[in-house]
Amino acid sequence: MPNMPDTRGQPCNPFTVPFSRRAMIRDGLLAVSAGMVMPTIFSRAVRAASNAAHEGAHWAQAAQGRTLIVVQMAGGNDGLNTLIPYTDGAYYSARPTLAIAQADALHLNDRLGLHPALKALMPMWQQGHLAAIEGVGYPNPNLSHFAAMDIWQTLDLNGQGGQGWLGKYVAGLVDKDGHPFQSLAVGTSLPVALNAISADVPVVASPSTYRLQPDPEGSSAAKHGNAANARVETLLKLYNTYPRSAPYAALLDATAQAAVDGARQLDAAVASYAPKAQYPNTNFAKGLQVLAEVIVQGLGLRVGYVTLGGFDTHGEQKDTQAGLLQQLAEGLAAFYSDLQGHNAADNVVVMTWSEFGRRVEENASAGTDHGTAAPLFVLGNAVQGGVYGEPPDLTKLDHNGNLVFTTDFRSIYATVLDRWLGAPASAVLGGNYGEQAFLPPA
Amino acid sequence: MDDSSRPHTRASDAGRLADATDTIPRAGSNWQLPEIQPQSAGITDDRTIPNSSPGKPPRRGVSRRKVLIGAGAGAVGLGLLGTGAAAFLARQQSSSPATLYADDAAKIGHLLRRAGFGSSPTDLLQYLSLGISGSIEKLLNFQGVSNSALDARLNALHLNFTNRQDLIRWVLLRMLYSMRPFEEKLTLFWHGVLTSSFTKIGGATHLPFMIRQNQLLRAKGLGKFDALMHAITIDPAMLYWLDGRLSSGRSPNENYARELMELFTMGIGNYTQDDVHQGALALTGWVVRADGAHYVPSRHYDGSVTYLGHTGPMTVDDVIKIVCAHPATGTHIARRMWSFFVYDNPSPQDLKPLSDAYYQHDHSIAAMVRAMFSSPAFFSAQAYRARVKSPLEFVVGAIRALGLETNATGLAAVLNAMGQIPLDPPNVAGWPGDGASGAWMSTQAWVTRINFTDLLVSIAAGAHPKGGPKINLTTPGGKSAIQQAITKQKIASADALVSYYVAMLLDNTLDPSRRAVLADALTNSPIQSGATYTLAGGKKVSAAATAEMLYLLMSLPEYQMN
Repeated sequence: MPNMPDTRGQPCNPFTVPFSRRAMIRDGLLAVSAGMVMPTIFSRAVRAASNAAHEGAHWAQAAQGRTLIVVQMAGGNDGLNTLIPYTDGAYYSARPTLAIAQADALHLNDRLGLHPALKALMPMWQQGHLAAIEGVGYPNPNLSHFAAMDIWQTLDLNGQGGQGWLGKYVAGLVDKDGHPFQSLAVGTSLPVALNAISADVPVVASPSTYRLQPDPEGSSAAKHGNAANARVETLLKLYNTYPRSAPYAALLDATAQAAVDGARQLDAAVASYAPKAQYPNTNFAKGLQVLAEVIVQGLGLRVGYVTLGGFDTHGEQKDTQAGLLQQLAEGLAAFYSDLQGHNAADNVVVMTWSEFGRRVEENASAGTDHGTAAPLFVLGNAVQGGVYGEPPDLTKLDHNGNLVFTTDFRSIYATVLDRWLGAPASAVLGGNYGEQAFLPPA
Repeated sequence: MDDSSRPHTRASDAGRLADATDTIPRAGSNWQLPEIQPQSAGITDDRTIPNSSPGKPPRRGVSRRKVLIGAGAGAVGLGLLGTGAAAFLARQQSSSPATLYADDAAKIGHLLRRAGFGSSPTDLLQYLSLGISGSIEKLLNFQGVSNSALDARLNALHLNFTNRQDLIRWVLLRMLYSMRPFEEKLTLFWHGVLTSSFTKIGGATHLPFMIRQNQLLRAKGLGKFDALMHAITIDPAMLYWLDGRLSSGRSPNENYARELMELFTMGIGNYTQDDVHQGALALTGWVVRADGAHYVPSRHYDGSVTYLGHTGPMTVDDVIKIVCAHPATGTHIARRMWSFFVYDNPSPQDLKPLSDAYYQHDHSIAAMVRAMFSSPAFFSAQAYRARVKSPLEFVVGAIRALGLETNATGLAAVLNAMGQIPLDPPNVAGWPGDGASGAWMSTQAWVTRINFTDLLVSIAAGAHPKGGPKINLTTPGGKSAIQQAITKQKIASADALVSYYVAMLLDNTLDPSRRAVLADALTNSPIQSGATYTLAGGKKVSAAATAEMLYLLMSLPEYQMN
C-alpha cells in the first residue's frame, strides 16, 4: 500500500503541523478574552470573517447558492461499457463476451450509447441536462487504485498526496453566516478530495445517527429544555484545551466542534423535510437523499460528496457493473426529481468520476483489468447537454493495451470551478488546464 | 496558501514546544513514558498544562486554564499542589507496584491497548504485577494460554456461520473475551493487510470461508511470512475477493497478482505492469469448490514467465518465494506493522530493526514483532496516545474496561457508523486508519462514539435506557458495574472513585486541571437526586452524577486516543 501522507492530523513535529484555522483563532480569541464562553455559531462566524480578512479569500462571492455534488465511482468503472462506441468494430472484437450490442445501447448520437442499466438517466439526456465527456485521463496513467485515486483527488501526478482539490476550494470559501454544512461527505470517513488543512468537513452517514444524546433526565439543563447543552459545552472546552502538542489534537478539536454545530442544524432541518421523490432502497440513494435534505433546507451546501463502490470488475463483470450502473442512474434520477419538486434543481450540478477505466480487451474471467482513460458525466439544469471531449482511439493503445487519454481531467475540474462554483480554477488547481463547454461561461 | 497566518502558527507552536520540552519531547529522544504519580495528583506538573503561551507569566497560564476548564477553585488548588507534592506522593507509594496507581500503569496500559484491546478490571492488576517485560512475554507467548472459557462461551451461542451478523459476533467476542489478546490484535492487523470481505464471497453458503480465513491468519500470523502468504494466496475467501478462482492461463486476470505486490508484500514502485501480468500467469490454476480451494492443472499456465527478474515456468510456490525474499518486502511489512501498533509515519530508523529481523531470521514475523516491542520508541512519549483509537479498539476496549457483558448482538451497527466492520474492509487496501489513524476521526464517527459512550455508562450505572440502538449489554449479575467496582476496590470517597476510573480508563494519566472537571461533574453536578451508590464507609454518591463523570471521561480527547 502506498505510504499515505497524513495531511489531516498532527504528526510529531509541531513545525509541520497543519492546524485547524478555527482552532487557532479560537485559541487566540480566548487568550484575550478569558472567561468568555463563546457560542459555537459565533466562533464560526469569527472564523469566516477572519478568513476573509487574513487570506483575501474572495472566490465564491459570485456563486452564492450553487452546489456541486461529486459522485465517486470507486474501483475503476469500465468506461467502454458505460458510454458504448457502438459503431466501433475494435470494441466488439476486444469484447467478445462483454460488449453491449448496438441494439441494447441507449443511443445518444450516431456513435455512442449508454449502458442499458443507465436508462433512468435518459430523460435528463433528452431534456439536454446530461453531458458526457469522453477520454478523460492524464499523462503517464497509474494502474494502482490507490495511486490513481490520489492523483485524481490531490492532482499530484507523482502520487505524493496533499490536500484535496475540493478541500482547497472549501477552505477558500467566504461564508459570512458560518454554515457548518458548506461541504458534506456522505459516509463515515473523509474522502481525500475533501482533505483540507484549514477547513472542517462534516461527514454524515445518516441524520438519525448524527444526533447527540441530550443531557440525562433530571439535569438542570434538561429541565430547562436546554438539552445537550451543558455536557456538550463542557466537552467542547475539554477538546479545545487538549494540548496542541499532542498528536491529532487539532483534528480532535475541529471534529468535535464541527460535529456539535452540525448535529444541531441537521436535526432541525431533517424534522421539516419531506422528500418529493421515491428514492430507491440503496445506500447510494440514501446518501443522495441526505445531500438533498441539506440542499433543500438551505444549510448552505456548496460541495457534497458521495461514493458508490464495487466497480473493480476483474471477473464476472456483466451483472456486477449493470447492477452498479442501475444504482447510479436510479439514485441520481430520484435525487434530481426530489430537487425539482422542491424548486432546488437549478442550483445543483452533479459530476461523476472514477480512478480509471478498464482494459480494452476483456480477460478470460469475463472481466476487465485496470485501464486508463474513461468517460465521466456531468448533469443538472445548468448543464449544456451533449458529448464533449475527444473519442479515444481503440486501435492505438498504449504498451499495456490501454486507451490513451484525450481530455485532461483537470479541465473538467477547472470548468466546474470557474463556471459553476465561482472560484478561480488556476488558484485551486495550481495551473491552467483549459475548460470544457458543458457549462456556459461564467 | 495561508501565508498571513503562518507566523502566528509558528510562534504559538514554538511556545508549545518549548513549554513542553521537559515532559513531552520529540521523536528521537530517549525519553520514556511519564512517571505515574499516585491518586488524584495525576501525572504531571504545571508545564504540561495545555495552551500556555510563550513569554507569558505562569500566573496567566493558571488563571486562563481555570477559566477555560471552568473548574473553579479545584483547578487552582491542584495547581498549587504543584510538582513537589506530587513527586513526594509518588515516592510514598512506589513500593507497592501491583496497584492500579503503580509507576508502570501508563506503560502497562499502553502495552495492553496496543498489543490487545485494553484492560479489564481483573486483568489489569495481573499485568501490573508482571511488570513490563513480564507482560510482554505473557502477551507474545500466547500459545500456551488456555482459551477454554472463550471457546465455551462461543459454543454456547450456537452461532450460524452462514449469517453475516453472527460472523461479526464471533470475531468481536474473541476480541472481547480471549485470554490471548495479542493473538486477536495480530489477527486484526493481518486482516487489515491481507484483506477479504464477506461482501464478495459467492453468497451466504460460502460465508464460513471468512471464518476459515480468519483462523488462518490466527494460526500463521506469527510464523514465517512465506507460509502465511502461501496460505492466503490459495485461501478460498481470497480467491473470491481478488478473483484468483476465475483466472486461467488463457488470459489471466491481474487482480491478485497486482495487489500481492502493491499491498501485501513489496509496495508500489518495485514492479512493472509486465510483472503484474507475468505473475498473474504463474498464479493461475486455482479454483474454489464447496469444500475449499483446488488446483486444476489444466487451468495453470505451463509456459515460461519472466517475473521480477526470474525466468522459467512458475507456480504459486515460486511467486511467493520471490516476493517474500524481495528487498522491499521487509520494510513494507514493517511499515504496516509499526503504523498499526506504534504510531503513524514511522521513520526509516524506526523500521530498520524490524526489517533487519525479517531478513536475519528467515522471514520470521515473530522476530519482527519482538523487534517492535523491544524498540525504545514503542514506550516513548511519541507513541503514547499517538494513534486515534480504531472503532474496534474503542468499542471493545470500553466494554472491557467497564467490566460489561455482551453477546455482541447489535454492536455491528455502532461499528458501522464509526467506520469499521470486521470482515468487511472498505476495499483491498484495508482500513485507511490502520495506516494513518487520523482517518478514523470524522464528525460521524465522533458523534457515534460519544453516543455509544452515553449508552455504555448508563448501562454500567445499572440503568436500562429506552430507545437507542438495540445492543446487548449487561452488567455481571445484573447489578451496577460501578457499585461492584466500588465494593471490590473499597472506594471510600467521590474523589477516589474518580481516581479509580482515571486509572482504569486513562492509565492514571490525566492533567490535574482536566481531572478536576471530572471531579466537579461528580460532586457538584445538579443531578444529585435518584439512585445512589454506597461507598466504603457508608457515604453515598449519586448514580447519575457518576455516570455523567464517566461520560465526560470516556468522551475526552485523551480517551479517543490509543
